[in-house]
Amino acid sequence: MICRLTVNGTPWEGDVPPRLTLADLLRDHLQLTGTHLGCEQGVCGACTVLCDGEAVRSCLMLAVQADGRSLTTVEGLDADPDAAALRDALVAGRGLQCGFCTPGFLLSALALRRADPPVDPARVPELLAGNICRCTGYGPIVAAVRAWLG
Amino acid sequence: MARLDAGTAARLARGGGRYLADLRVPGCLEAAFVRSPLPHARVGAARFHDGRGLTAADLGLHPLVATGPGLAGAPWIPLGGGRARYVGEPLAVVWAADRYQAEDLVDAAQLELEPLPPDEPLHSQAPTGVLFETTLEGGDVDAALRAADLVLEGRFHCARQTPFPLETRGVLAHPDPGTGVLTVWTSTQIPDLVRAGLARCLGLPEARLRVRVPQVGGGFGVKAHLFAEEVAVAALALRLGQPVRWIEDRQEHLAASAHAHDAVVRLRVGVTREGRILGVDADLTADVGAYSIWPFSASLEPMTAASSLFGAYAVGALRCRTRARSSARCPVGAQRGVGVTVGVHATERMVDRIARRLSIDPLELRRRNAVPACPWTSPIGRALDSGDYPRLLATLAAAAGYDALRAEQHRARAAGRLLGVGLALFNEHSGTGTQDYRRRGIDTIPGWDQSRVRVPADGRIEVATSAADAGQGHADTYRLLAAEVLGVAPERVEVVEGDTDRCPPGTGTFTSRGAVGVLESLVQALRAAAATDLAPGTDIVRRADAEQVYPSGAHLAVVEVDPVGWRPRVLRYVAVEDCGTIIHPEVVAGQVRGGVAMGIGNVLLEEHAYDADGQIQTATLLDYLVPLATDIPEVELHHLTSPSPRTTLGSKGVGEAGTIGAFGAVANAVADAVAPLGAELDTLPYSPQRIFAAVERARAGLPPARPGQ
Amino acid sequence: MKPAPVAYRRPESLDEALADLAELGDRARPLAGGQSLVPLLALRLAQPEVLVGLERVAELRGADLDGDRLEIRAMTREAELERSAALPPLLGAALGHVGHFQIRSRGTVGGSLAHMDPAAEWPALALLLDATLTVASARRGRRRLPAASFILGPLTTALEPDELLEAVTMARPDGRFGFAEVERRSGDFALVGAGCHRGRVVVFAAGPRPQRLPGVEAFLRDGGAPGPELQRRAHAEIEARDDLHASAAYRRQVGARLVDQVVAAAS
Repeated sequence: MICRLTVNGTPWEGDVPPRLTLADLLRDHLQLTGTHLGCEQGVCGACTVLCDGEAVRSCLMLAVQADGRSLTTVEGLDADPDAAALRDALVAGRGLQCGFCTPGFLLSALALRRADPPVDPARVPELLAGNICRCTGYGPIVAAVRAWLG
Repeated sequence: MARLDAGTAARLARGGGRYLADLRVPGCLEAAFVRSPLPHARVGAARFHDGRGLTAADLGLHPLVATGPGLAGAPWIPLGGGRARYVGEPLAVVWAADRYQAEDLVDAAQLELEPLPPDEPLHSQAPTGVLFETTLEGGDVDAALRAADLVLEGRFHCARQTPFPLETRGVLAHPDPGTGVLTVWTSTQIPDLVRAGLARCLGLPEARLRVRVPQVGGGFGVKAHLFAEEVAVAALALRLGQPVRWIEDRQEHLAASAHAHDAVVRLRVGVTREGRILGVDADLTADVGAYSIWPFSASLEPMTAASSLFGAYAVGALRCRTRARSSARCPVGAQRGVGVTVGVHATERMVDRIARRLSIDPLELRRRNAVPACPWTSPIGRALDSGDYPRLLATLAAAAGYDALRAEQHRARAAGRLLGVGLALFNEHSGTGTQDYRRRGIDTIPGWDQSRVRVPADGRIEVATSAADAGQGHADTYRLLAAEVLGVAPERVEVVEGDTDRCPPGTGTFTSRGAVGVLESLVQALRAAAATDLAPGTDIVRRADAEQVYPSGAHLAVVEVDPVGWRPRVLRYVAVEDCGTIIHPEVVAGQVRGGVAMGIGNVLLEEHAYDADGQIQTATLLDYLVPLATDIPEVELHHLTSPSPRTTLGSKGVGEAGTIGAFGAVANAVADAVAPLGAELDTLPYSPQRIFAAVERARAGLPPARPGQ
Repeated sequence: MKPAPVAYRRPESLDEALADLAELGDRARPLAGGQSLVPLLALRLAQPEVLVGLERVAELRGADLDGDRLEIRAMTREAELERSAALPPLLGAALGHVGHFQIRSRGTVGGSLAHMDPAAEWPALALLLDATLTVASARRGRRRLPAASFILGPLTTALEPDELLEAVTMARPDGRFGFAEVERRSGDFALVGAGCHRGRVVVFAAGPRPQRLPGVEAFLRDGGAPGPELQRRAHAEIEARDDLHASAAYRRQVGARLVDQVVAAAS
């Protein structure tokens, strides 16, 4: 099935099997391997990307459902100085160890930054509860995101 | 020491980590596994679509046997060798162009399975199901219990849990027809042991195998084993003469990687009226699942848990009969802290029970029994190298404001709140060496570590170790250390890990080896290199065979239980750590925080369950619950520094301490919160359901529930 | 965990979608936001021959939240509702419990109702607010069902294979209400939950489907108030099941306490 979408500002068009998930389209067809698969059931958040500006699980979306939409992955953050600032704050504050969850946290946080009305920084732990990290104990991630949103 | 060169972290945060699933090899096929739907069955004829499937017999895989004192010698058999021994066990491998099509082949595969009766032994070498058994004993336990004013009994059960790194397992095997060498990329903590095990399973010389480790997305112990999928994918790549990979999915990971814990500890403890612990009589049974896992063997959990009982306390006599039983469940292996978590949970819960029974404050009871000074040798021969237990307690009490906390708790209880304060005092062994492994009945693990400093023609300094980073950040620590010792710029130093061609062989990364044996060998190699002119051609290898060292700690948790839904929440966490000399403060802080989070998950949330038919009920993340950002408080971290006399730098390792401490502190805090209701908790995790049931039993005047209820 | 082979149709109108379902019957599954169905596809627990993707069906999108009667069309995403200033507070309170915000970006009201997870919020809300569900098919036209007739059991509704849920309508919930859940972790499905509004009381996640508590409602009509007697009646009335995370006894006890809380909040 023909699928047309825009990824990190670049249009893409291709013939994809309907069963292909958006995550596998990004990883295997577009070589954007910064989007990670941690559970493929919508729980861990490692595959989070922005779809028309909203954070979604790319493992819970078929590629054909993304037809006509605009996607942002971790590889697209260089174009956004604000996102790059959070990324640098996470690195500086040791908000990552193995790094597998990091792209998902970054994209979730980016969606929060764009939320209208703005999110209350006190709710950051709750708002990041849709992303699992097994290394850091969350404290440094919460602190970096809170400071960045603040 | 200077701040971290954050180059690796920055690359990872850009999505530039090359984890196993990100490696791209042209023409690589994708494997998937046909797994057992039954807990125990004989495997008969197999039929595969288009002939694209192979069983253990087709691939000619050899079993491995972990040997050592106390072990029954039951084999570990990749792809089951004609038997299925747990639900989810891989029995055959199929391959296709991608994972989607490979799963279609799994669906199409037909395996004849003849169910075997539940009482049929899994292994003929262990007809009663006991895979390992021994007794640790020191001092006159019977006399100590006779002399006691009071003998208290307890039975503590830790659920079956799993390390759960965010990246699942994966392997990519790539044959080179020119050299005849098979390169096996695998997400592992133990590249050299994987190579040794693969060579034996495949019947190949080790020289024909190169094991390489890409970026690893967390290990926490589960990636410190050899797995059937690694063996099968390697064998398949050789058979087809083509690269083949397999990426584990989360369902496979939860059902069939390695589980942990699942042990019952029974304690009889003799105390005086003043609260002196005179002697401990313990009995421990670990359910280790279907196999004696390789390389650690079935002794890993029961031996580690038994030897850690009352480890921070000056107890005159201790006996523990300890054993591993098989069951038709996923094999049990290593998880951060291994059995020390189980041992510390039982010990610390028991210490609190003694305090309650004698109406002595739990902190005071710990003061009266803590190891008074080091060095100290326990009745079962644990030779504590360093540490200051009284000072750990004093530091914790001051840092947490212990007296004020108890006063606050008093007021909260008067207002009807269920607020608990829990303590843990503990130590652990780390950096286990050759002699330690032999004593503990494990012959399969070398126990020594190596490092190599090499200067190639281009003048770079290559530092290679036998460790394998799984996200802890070795490379940055080692680079800075090398730069400091050699007096060169960090940029000149390249740290190499996880490549059996480029690194000297050793034991890998677990039990904080990276801060003990590996670091020791590195320090020695660097010092030897520093004495030279670092001319191109310099090539220095040093081996270290560590003696065990004992990091220690004292933790405190404050927990509130919601009186409507019985949900426990950790409100505050204070940790005092003594990991000896701190090589890198930020790495240490990261290890402790992350470790505490895992411990909180283990105590409050995490549990694998099987139903009566042997089917796993927790193969998705809707049912196996790991902690989220809302479950973990800030960790207030304080340090004591008692350098180990057994390592050159004095470091002792800190990878496991956070988790171990939480097993005691959080569990005691939950129990303390509901103690006014008469509820007794002894089975992890302390879930809303278990708290509810304990309170109901207390209300009905019934004794505590047996584990499993 | 990759879906089995499947065909995909992408109808551009409601008529087209209904024609597809009429033609394919139970060989097809409508796909809304996919937050429940895609994991079932990935686990191969659902293996339809054809997915009928509803993302282009304009008639199924949008919600009218301004009047006294609310109409939420089936493909309305939860995130869209959350952003609406006209969203009644009761719906807002319940929405906060639906998964995590990334799930609500894609999750739809109709998808949740048609999936009918016993622990999901939308079926409970529909029952609590006496909602009417409009269901359409090519052959039989439209029918309107009260929530109580639409909701049959776990993953089971009154929808026939050729029918689509078109919209849910309800009187605007206003005034005081109570809505509460106990969940293991933030964003998890509830172990048990309860809601109260205008004298109606619903418990969910306890049994096979959300359940009204007529005995408790009668007690309240007769002037009963929160307290031990209300809890006793709720406890006796709640249909509860055992599962991995909690026993029926837990769900009855905690459910009765939540009923007490939500009744107090609503009165």
